[in-house]
Amino acid sequence: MTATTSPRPRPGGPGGPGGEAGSAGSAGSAAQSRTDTSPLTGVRVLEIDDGFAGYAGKVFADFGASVVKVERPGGALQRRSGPFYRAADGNEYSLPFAYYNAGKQSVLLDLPDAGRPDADRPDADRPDADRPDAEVDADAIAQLERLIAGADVVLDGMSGGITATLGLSSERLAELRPGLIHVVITPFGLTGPWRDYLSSDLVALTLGGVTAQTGYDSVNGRPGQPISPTGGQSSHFVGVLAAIATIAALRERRDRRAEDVLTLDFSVHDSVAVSTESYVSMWEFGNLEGFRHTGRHASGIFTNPAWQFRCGDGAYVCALTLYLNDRRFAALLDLFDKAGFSHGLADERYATQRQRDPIMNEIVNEIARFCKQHSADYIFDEAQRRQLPWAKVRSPEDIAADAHLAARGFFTPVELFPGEQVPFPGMPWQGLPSALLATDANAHVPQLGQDTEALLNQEGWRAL
Amino acid sequence: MGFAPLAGTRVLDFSWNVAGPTATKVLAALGADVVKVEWPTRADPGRALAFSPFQEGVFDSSGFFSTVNIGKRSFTVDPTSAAGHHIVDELLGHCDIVVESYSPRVMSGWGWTFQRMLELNPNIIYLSVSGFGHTGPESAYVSYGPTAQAASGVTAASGEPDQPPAGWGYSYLDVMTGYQAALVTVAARSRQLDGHAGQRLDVSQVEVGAAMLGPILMDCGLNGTVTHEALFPPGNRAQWPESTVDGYRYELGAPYNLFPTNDPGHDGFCAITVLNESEWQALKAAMGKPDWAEDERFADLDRRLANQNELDMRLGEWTRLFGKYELMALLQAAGVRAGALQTGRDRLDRDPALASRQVFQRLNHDVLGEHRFESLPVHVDGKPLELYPRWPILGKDTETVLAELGESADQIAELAKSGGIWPPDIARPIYTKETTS
Repeated sequence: MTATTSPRPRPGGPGGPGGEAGSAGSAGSAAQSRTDTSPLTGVRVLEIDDGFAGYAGKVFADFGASVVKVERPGGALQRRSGPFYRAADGNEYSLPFAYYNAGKQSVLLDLPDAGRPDADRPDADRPDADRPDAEVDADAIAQLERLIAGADVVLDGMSGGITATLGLSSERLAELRPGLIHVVITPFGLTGPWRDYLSSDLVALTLGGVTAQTGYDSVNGRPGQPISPTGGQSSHFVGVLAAIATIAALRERRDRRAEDVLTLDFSVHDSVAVSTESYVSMWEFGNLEGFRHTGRHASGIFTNPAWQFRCGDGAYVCALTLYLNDRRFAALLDLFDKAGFSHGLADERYATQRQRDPIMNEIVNEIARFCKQHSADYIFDEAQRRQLPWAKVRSPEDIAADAHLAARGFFTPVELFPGEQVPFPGMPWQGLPSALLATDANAHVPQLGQDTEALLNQEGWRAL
Repeated sequence: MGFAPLAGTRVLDFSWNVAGPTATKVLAALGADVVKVEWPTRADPGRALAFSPFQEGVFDSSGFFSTVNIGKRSFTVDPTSAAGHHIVDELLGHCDIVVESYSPRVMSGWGWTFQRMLELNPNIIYLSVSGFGHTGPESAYVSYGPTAQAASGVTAASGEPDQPPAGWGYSYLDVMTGYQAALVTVAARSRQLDGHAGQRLDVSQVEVGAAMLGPILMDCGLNGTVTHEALFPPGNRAQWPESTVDGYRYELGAPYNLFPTNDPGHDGFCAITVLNESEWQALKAAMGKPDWAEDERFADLDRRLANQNELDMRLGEWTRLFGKYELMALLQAAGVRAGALQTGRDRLDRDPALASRQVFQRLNHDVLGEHRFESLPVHVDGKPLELYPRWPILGKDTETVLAELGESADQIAELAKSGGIWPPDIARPIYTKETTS
């Protein structure tokens, strides 16, 4: 990607150099300069995404790689996925597409799209929605092969993988690009009895174990409704793990000039299934089935009735009643007393944790009564002032306007849409500057096929 | 050794509980040499938690701790003693990456500011993992995973639209923060190998949560969307019928929900998600084309979305005829995206895909014996990446690591005698006499 404007320093970083821009990867990874400071500067990633691979591609772009997204006629499904934003140029932009694909290039190739969730959507604004796969442009595979020949990484999120779907074997990939890393992200992996099964965000979170443990507290010993959280979380589990392994492998293979093709086969299902805190250990080591409950740590036993309380302003606070040791209990009483809240907890019956544990319900009831009399913001501030690990249950709109995140520079204003500065949520760390957000040009959201001509002409990857 | 791209990377790990140790578990699984640093009188609280067949006071018998810390070595030193402080200085000088997950002032309070670390090791990577981060107005706030989930918007983005937030039933932000911390660390390690001088990485659980809600935050910031006054979250649906805000699953369909089955117990549900017209036709065919499904209220996506309550009720009457795995297999065979609601036990004992791909790997733990451990789930060139069967048995590797630092046998014996590597008032378990291979 090209860095044409001056680097944008990120405010509030605790240390480390700020604001380095990814520079143009003009000569490929082998010639990476030691002065380049984005970890993937010069690395070329070819991305094909049918739903679960886009997050990994975003990570590569943020670290300075040139990421080319291969789209098929009609464009990536996510381009038609809400919510949308109507920009000053009159166009409607998909916000999930912008978040996951800013900083990438787009190439339009007439590849088959069997297995894509939108393969036959009659409402899709596709000029060739009725086109049978048999009529795929014979040149498309050759064009894809030319792009593969210039890539360091093929991020293959095609349903079934490009090997089975397009006939591109490992041997063929090795011919095209010795040393290539072929990262495959599919719903269930390239092997195993479910390898041809289809998935979705809800199916992935439900099979993988998130949904069974998450939801509503029991009433009279009967678990409440299981719930799967929103935000497209299933793609994050697999995307972050795939990115970690790929970045580590890129570096190690570059150092020893590896010429074989490395295939990393990631499954969405496997990645979710190992990411449920202690729920697998609970059965493996404790013969306990997890207890479905609301907003708490994993548990195989019923600990106490609630951690979450409705406040006077209608908002909620998360108050971790499980961890009321003597110091925190004293802090709780101080919180109550300073607020002029009359309670019965100063009684001797509550003097030690051993005494409190069996009658924790009584304490929880007092917390619930206290919360009803105050706002969630007040309780959050006053509890944290006393080192109680409580928090307001903030809404997404609270977060978009949050002063702490703003002070840490979590949102970076970039010209995401033509002529419009947009506060863009950053990656969740400080100390390694974002190449994606370093300049407006880097953060550009690609139009469908905007780079096709440049990448498929004689210039190839050098056009970037 | 197979795929080990971080071989040769030395990680000094002061982190405890779940988020930090998850990050270093991932680094260890990729070949890094992770040395976990503790002192027995304030060892990782995770050692005392969760699923041990032994009584309290046994350091190495927690199943969950052993899952989160597999692949690491254990080093015991008291950083607050003069001798211990000197040893930690030496360790900092000989590592590539130092990790901690204490409250922001702990490491600097012991004397190890980032500046001091740079004096000891100009190329060091210092990763801190904390609830709110080490800077900003809320940096002194204290948190556990669920606290950060509430404070980051993650809790509010889960639940039924007419009920309180459901959040997560576990510490999502312990797991995901561990992964994100490992991610930025491998990227920084690549820069370190390019000769980049010292790097200070500050990972905050609240920011991880916010980043996992990216498009939702953009919708609020750009469109002024107010989710808490709308019918949000959408339960298990992609979109709530009357909601004025998006469902934020970034895919749209109906039916899209959990459905009851005839499996006994509380977890007898199956997810069914229909994302396009041919999948709807496939679902109808799988049901034997019942008359109700031909009703014009379900004729296209918009009408199915609007009439979801009726649609879900009708479909649920049919799904009750099957077990959850039976229903999943029947629908997947028909080309419909479906999946059984699986618990931890289900994933271990009833899931043929996870078994086939060796996601949970059976290994022989020094104390717990043979058990299945969660791997870093990737197949490398067709084979599952194997966990290295090593656990940080408390103090087991102290002498070995001291020898690697160049301490002589006499010096190590002297340290041991003076209580510098194990507190004299606590019995050192006999199995720690062995050294790791």
